[in-house]
Amino acid sequence: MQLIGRVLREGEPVGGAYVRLLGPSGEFTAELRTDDSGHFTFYPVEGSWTLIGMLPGGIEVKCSVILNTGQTAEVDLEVSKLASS
Amino acid sequence: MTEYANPEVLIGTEEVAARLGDPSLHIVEVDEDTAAYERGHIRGATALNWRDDLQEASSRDLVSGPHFEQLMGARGIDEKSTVVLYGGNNNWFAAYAYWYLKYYGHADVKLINGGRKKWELEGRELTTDTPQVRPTTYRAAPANKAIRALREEVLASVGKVPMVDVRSPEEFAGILAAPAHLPQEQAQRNGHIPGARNVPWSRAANDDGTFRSADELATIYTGQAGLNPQEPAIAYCRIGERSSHTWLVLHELLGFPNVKNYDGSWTEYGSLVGVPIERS
Repeated sequence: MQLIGRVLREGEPVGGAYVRLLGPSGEFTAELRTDDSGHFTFYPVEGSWTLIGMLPGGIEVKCSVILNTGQTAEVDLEVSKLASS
Repeated sequence: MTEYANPEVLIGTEEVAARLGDPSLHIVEVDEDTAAYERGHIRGATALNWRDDLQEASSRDLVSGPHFEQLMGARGIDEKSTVVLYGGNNNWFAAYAYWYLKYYGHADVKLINGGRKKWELEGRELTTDTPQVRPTTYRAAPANKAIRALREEVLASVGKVPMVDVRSPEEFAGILAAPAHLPQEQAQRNGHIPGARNVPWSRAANDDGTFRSADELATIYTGQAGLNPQEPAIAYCRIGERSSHTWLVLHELLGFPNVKNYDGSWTEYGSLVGVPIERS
């Protein structure tokens, strides 16, 4: 099972962002750094997960995902103009 | 506010940035992603590859003292050097190297508080330049076995010595076999050592990867987890690197003298024949 996605800022991929995966209890499960094309891949199981993207300048973007059995979910973490200004 | 038991083991990113080029600091990067160093590192830093340099592949063990001496000497480090470690994954593997250097008796080791993530998110310089290194001779101390737990001790300690499983709640419960940024096909069974208490390493860290304050750490480990500072305890994870992070917190920052790291960790324990485990 995979949870894949990208970190975007105003539609452009952000390489070198940090993405944190929190489990159903809100506890840290994993964290990784996006590749040059802004992509990340996690390997969780079914359940309710939270993604937090961290970018330079203290910018954070958060999103919740519900994964069903056998599903590969795709999520883009989009930093808004407001957050990046 | 209480001070860490050994505050000198941490060095801030600002101080490192201000001291780049200081020949008294030997900066060393250690990452899970062994290609990270090549993509860019702190100016002057050398690298230790946790898989190729720090594992004796033929025996799945720490490298021998003479081998360790070669690793250090080739990086221009002698036993009196100030070694400054940092890395990705919130310093997991840098903490492992810290524990490793302590195992071979190195006196002056520091960890960059927040590691590579904090350095990057602060927009600090990374370079692909190869550092100038003058190889030297390193003399390792006899291995400090008081900070390492091997499987026989762990098996004999079940139900007697507090075991701190520092993995995520999902790994502890047996739902995941490895951190969720890694594929989940693993040889060992999923679960945890019977009676272990789950205190994920991440509770000791702020979001930027720096360590929580001494007061916060004391609340987590003595208050919530119920560890007695004077009693023995054994930390473990999957392959011994996250538990090094917790070992550093307990032994160095909180000053618990009797804490060991079980570097065989779950990849060993979860594969032992005839040994019960627990799930959920």
